[in-house]
Amino acid sequence: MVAARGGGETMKQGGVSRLRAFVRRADAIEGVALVALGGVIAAGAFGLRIGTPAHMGPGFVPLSLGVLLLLCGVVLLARGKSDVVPASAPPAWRPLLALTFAFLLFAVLVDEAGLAIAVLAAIPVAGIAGGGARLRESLVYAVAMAAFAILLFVEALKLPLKVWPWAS
Amino acid sequence: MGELIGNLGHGFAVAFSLENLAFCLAGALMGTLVGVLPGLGPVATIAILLPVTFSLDPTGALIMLAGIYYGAQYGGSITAILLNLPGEASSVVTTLDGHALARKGRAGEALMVAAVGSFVAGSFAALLIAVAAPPLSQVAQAFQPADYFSLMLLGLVLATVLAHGSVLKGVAMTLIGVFLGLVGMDVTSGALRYTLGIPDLADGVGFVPLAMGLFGIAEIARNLERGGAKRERLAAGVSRLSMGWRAWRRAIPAILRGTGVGSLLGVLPGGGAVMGAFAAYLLEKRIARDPARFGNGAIEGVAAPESANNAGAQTAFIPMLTLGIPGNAVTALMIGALTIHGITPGPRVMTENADLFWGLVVSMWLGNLMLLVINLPMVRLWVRLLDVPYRFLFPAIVLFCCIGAYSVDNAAFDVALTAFFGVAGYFLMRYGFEPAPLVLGFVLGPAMEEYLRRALLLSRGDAIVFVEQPLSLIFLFVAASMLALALVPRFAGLRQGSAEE
Repeated sequence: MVAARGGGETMKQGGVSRLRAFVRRADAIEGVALVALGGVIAAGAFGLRIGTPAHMGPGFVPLSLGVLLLLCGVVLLARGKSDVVPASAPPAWRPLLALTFAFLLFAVLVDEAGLAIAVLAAIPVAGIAGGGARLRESLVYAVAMAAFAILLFVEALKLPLKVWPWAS
Repeated sequence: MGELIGNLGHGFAVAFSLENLAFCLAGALMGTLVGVLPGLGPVATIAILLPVTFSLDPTGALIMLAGIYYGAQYGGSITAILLNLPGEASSVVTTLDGHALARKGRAGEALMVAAVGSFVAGSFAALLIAVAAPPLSQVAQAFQPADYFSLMLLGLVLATVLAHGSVLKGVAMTLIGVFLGLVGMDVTSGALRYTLGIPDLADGVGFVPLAMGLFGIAEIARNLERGGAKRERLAAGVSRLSMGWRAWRRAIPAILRGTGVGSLLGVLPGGGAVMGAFAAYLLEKRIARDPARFGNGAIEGVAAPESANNAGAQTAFIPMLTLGIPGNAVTALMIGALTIHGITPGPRVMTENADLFWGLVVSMWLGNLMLLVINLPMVRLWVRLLDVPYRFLFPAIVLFCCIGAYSVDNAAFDVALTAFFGVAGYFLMRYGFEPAPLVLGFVLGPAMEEYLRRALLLSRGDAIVFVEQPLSLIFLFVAASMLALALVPRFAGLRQGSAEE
């Protein structure tokens, strides 16, 4: 009974660790990603007219690219050795998320609320990416940046940007 | 000869306008600044500043952007020598002997040799562009669509083979880049391709969001991940900026050799500044009577790579200006800038935009002169700039990217797209995919499709057209053999070895 349970566990562990080993065998994720991307691109090409080599439709080159990309992925998987040491540290989620969110905030705000508010909102959020809770510093810095942006881009470079929410 | 002098005279007239002198100086200084700051390279800077240059005239814009590239080669040497901190990839080898010299209290000599070597190399490379470009563009005028397609293919292949990293992954990135270049409305049929129903994508993926995201944002994320680097201060030894005759006698031949190696390798796609610097250093070490001096403060070990990287940074413009083919990320960005200014890159730039071409060539020489005169006395100031904490620097970069991406078309969508490419760029780098081939593919993709279409239309779909024309055949042959060499394990091992050395 005990032995059986133990055996089952090792078998399960064996499967998991083999999967882990496959994933960790660098180039596996990359290979699968390339195959998937190539497949999606090639599949998308069939929604367009492919045409013949002499009279190529809009789908001809994308289809070729998709197939080539898929092949790259297959070769990468088949070769199965890596030239990069897989990164052991987890991805830098905090900077990535903070930066992405800052850009999205700016994108959402700039058309309606104007440059000033977009900068005031985006810069402190971007500041989170740097770590360390320096709220006051980051707010003061955002105000300075907003003033700087208005002076440089609107006043000096004369870019047609809406600055305040009430401007048309 | 008379024509050359006439053309250079024309260039001087353009470059010496007050505005263009100011752009040249601004570019060179900005380049030095980002060269000094580790974690902010010329590629990211040019990507971030692209939108700012749209309000300038194209000549001024290109003069400034070029200044950033070669200026960065000067700046990179300063921190490499004083702080053992290569501000740029191209000054990594300079740290070996440059910092060793600095530790012996001879930092002044190393800085001096780096600056003079860069100036000599820059002047020679500018002259080389002036001499070599006109005949090259003449040849290119006679190209058929098949020739063009094969040449672009060769350019992409060389750029992936000669750059560092996995060749297969480089090829994949190139393919993705070409694909991204095709997104949007197809010029021939008017069909919308891969726009996912997003109206903003009908005009295609924006060059600025792509470049800014891949190079700018991804770089910020990686820098923040690494945290603040520890810095060793060694600014004390910069008091004396002079050098004895004996050191010069060693340095001058090394400068000339470095200039030659750098100029040659700079022309090749994938090369630019980095490869030249490495090759020049290896050459010096190989021909030296006493190779053991290298790594312990050999003056040639600073003179040769610093000359080579500056020469390479400039001769990289030759294929870009004459053929419209970028060899590295920086020249790809320049092509993007030209296109946005409504100038079609290619052999006609020289005749149709003579002001731009000759003004740029002469401004390169002027910029080098400015850097030589201005930079040495300013070394202390540059080093002090390293004390600015990164947490003040990166929000400012984010701001430039947001406003820059937005202002190209006043499109908020482009700001979001920048963020997308930033995240994509971060993960690509993490898994060993270099972003540079992607950008090259993106820039060349639409033109390649067009030439492929035309070539096959003319030949009624018969692919033999690519091997029937002698030029096209040569290009394809070289491309195929380079790719084969790089993918065959034995040679690939050699390549890896040379990159590590």
